Amino acid sequence: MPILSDQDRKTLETRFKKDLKRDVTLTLFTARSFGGLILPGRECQTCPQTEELLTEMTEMSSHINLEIKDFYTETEEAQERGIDRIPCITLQAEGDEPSNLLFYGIPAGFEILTLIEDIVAASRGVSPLQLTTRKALRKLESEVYIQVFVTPG
Amino acid sequence: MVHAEVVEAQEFPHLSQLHRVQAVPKTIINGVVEVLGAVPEAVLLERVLSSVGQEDLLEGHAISRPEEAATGPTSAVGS
Repeated sequence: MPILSDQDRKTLETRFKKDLKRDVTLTLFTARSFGGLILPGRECQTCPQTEELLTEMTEMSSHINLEIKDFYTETEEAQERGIDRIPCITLQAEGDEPSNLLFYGIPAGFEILTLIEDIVAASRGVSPLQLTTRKALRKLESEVYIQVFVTPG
Repeated sequence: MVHAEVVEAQEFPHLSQLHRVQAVPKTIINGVVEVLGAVPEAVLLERVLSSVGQEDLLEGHAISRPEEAATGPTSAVGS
């Protein structure tokens, strides 16, 4: 059974049709099963639903692509990006560098809205931040690492 | 220069415990600065800049700082 309802799908299709400009690739770092088997110590309760949810989102727009990486066997990119737990979602708009944003855990409930807004922002190449904020952040001299804890709500 | 993570608190309980997450949203900057609740963008910016000692980039924006209010004269009444 699909995760997104028919109503959600219609809303998303309309939104994506209106607002997406460039293609956006979502990359999901997950634990792949081997013929339905998960190796002990590599269980990831929300990985299958996260993959299902993102797959459904790719069906809403031809501008959204999904790339799936196994956290345990395709380790290079995860290590490069400092990804240390799964499920983890990253995004990259066509022609841009990969985004510095990581989503850890399933973007369920209202959290899907955060992911959708980020997909739209990446696709349009327009930051939702105020001009004064962007000006200040451009002048940062050291790295800033922000973690926002959320629940599906 | 800015890296951000959204963390589903229930799925990563060890991280939530590490940062004493009891209500969401809770934002942690550079592992130490805590911001509770959904604060206005200007407040978050101020906390980000002050965490790296670059408050001078604020261009004179007047922003209330909850932690100062908590340690100000009002809360000193009971001490």
